[in-house]
Amino acid sequence: MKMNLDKIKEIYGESAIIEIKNNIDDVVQNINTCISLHFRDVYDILENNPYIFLQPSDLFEEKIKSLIQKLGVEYIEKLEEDMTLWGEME
Amino acid sequence: MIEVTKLNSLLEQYNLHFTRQRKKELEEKTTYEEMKEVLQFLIEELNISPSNIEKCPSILYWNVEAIKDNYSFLASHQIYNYNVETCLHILSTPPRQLQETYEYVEQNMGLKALNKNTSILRVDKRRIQEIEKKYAPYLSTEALLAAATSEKDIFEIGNILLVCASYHIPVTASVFKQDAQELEKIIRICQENQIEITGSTFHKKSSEILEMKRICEKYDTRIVSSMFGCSLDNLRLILESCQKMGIDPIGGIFRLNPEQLEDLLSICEEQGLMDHLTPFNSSPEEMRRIIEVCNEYHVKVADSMFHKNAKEVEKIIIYCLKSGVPKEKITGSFFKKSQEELEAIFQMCDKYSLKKEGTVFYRTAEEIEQLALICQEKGIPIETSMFRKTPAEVLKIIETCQMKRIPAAGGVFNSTPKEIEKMVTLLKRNGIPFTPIIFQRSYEEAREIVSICNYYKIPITGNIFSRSVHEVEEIISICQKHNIKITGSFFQKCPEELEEIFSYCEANHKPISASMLSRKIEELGEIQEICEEYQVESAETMYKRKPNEVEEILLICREKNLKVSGSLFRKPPKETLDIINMCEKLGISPIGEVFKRTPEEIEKIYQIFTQLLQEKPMNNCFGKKPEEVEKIITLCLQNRIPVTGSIFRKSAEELQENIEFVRNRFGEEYLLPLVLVCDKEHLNKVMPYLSGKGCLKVLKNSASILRLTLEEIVERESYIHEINQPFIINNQINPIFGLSRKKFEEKKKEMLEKYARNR
Repeated sequence: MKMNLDKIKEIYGESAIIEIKNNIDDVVQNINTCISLHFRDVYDILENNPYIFLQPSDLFEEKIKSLIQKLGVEYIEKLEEDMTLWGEME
Repeated sequence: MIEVTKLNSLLEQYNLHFTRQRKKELEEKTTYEEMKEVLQFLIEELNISPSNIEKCPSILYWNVEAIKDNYSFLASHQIYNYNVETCLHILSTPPRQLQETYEYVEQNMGLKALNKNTSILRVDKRRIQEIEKKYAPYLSTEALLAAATSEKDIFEIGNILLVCASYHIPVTASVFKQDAQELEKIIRICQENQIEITGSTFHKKSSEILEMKRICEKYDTRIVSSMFGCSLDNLRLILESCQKMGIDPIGGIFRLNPEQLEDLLSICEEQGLMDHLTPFNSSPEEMRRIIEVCNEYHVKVADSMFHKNAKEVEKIIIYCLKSGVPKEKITGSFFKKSQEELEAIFQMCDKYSLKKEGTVFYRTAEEIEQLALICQEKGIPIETSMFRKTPAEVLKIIETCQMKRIPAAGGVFNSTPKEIEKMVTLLKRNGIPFTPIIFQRSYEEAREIVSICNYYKIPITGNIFSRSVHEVEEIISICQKHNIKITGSFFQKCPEELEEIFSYCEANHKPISASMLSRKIEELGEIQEICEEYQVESAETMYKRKPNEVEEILLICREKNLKVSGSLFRKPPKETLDIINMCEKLGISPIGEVFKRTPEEIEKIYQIFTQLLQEKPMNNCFGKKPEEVEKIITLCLQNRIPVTGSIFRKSAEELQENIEFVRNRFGEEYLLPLVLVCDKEHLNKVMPYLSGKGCLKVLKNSASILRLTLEEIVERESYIHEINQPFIINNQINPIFGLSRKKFEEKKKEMLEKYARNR
């Protein structure tokens, strides 16, 4: 699976790609955080919500742990059923 | 006649030392009074050094009046004092003969020839004329004067010329140092032993050259021309010193005596110049003087300084400092030029605002001006890499870059127009965006690297071209060995360093991250130890900082009772502390994007939020400068748009454009954050589509459908039709549009399987 930058560019514009490149360290770390939390298609999450991945990695980690706590043990299922829940990470 | 005791006392008075035989000659050939008069004139009046008189003792039994006459004649006729001092036998020439010779040589050969061959002044004019008459077509001016000075008779001179002609040896002044027979022997020995024949070869007899050969064989070195100016004993001692010190016996080293060489080597060792042995152009005394000058002005010693004398070096240093060059920037390149050349170059640098350092000294002042004018005409900034090339070459390179539509900057000036064209074609053919780093490699190397990357399916980034082909292969092999996916950042490191880092990460169960690559392996270990000491988990951003900085920041966290997070390591400790203090003052969390701003900017943003929104700033907004934040908030307030975190991901300009677009096209009711962060073109595709479906109004409740491309929306719409569901359910977008890609694929698959079963 590869990250579809073209999709991000299409939906959010060139500025989003520039932001990703400028914050690539955090983006990569946040992707790794999601992988470690066993999400199945992290790139899909990123393509749908690129701006949340731009956050500093420590803040991202804090927020995602808070979200997971809120959703409970079936957090993966719930988030896959309703991607709008990722909006709470904003 | 001089009585022995009187002679000895006179010699002692003037610090002169002669052999017994010389003293015997002096006893017989002159009187005490005559000798004293001569010594008074030479040493007390003319300041001739006793060592020069020792080389020419016959002057001491010459008539003092004749010596005085000769000296005044020469002093009034532009013969430099230095030359007279080392050629004292000239002063003991009969004055009339000296004057006639002077006039003849000056008229027929020039003053330069006279000063170069001052000894000619003791030769009778008639001898010069005789040689000239017979052999002028075969002799240069210098060779003719050397032949005349040599005291060889006219026939011997002819024999020497025959030997030179037979062996195709150029007739230089030095061939007249030997007689014809000896000359021939020397030439044969050199030819048989592959010894290069230069002017200095004939300073030695054939037997001496054979001895030199034996000595050189013993020290496993070859004969070089500068050895011929060295005595055999000194040659032996110098070669032994070189062998002991492990240095190549080259060049000017043989101009020194062994003591001077030891002295010089110890100076070179002290100053760390052993790898740059051009100091052998200087005597040890001159070297010491130059080093003293450098120490006085706190300028680093450079080996190019030793091509000049200490006075010249000092002049240049003073000039550089007066011209505003900092002392630490005064490097070797300054001393490759004369002061006049430097002045001209400095003027150009001032005229065109160029730094007076580095490659600018590769060019003359005229060339620098030409380059500056070319750049002005072409509208490109002048770059230091341009100075490696002539103006004509630079112009061709610029024109090639313009034709190929690549920036004429940086490493491109290390290349040639042909190479540039080939590189650009290589990149285009392989779909690689242009990167100037590619010019660190030759075309062949770059082509091979591209081929390797294509074979291993490695995305090609600029970093890759900072490594050689061999290094790229090694890095790939290392990544494969450690089962790590190759990314461009790994090519920042050389293979050995990368292997060390990977092994370290494996041993310490750490995932490899890009920030680690900016540290040395020892530093990674140190940071790990510091984390253990402070009982914290290491964070990726820690590796952006040096170990001492990491420790300082951890101390700050401890003092401030802060949780250690990666953002704290974005900046150096002092700046981090200032930011934390500001956050404390304002009552906001020192976390996340706040570390992208300075304390002053944080305070401004805080004030903007409290004034305009009466609330504390959200963390996202610190990704923008205060002026931008203010513009964004103002826009939101003016257009009644809720201020959310994602709004700050757009610039004020983009936001303004989107607001106007959405308002004009779809109406104010759609000025929502989730709409406005999308690209205009995307909105222009999707919103009309939704409008056509009568579903646009639903965006006001759930704009999340905009996260999908139009193609994805159509695909999902097709699915919901298959399962007989409407687009809108309970005034909300159908939840199918909210599924993840994987979930949607699974549902589609389920549906297809169900259909297959029902058939």
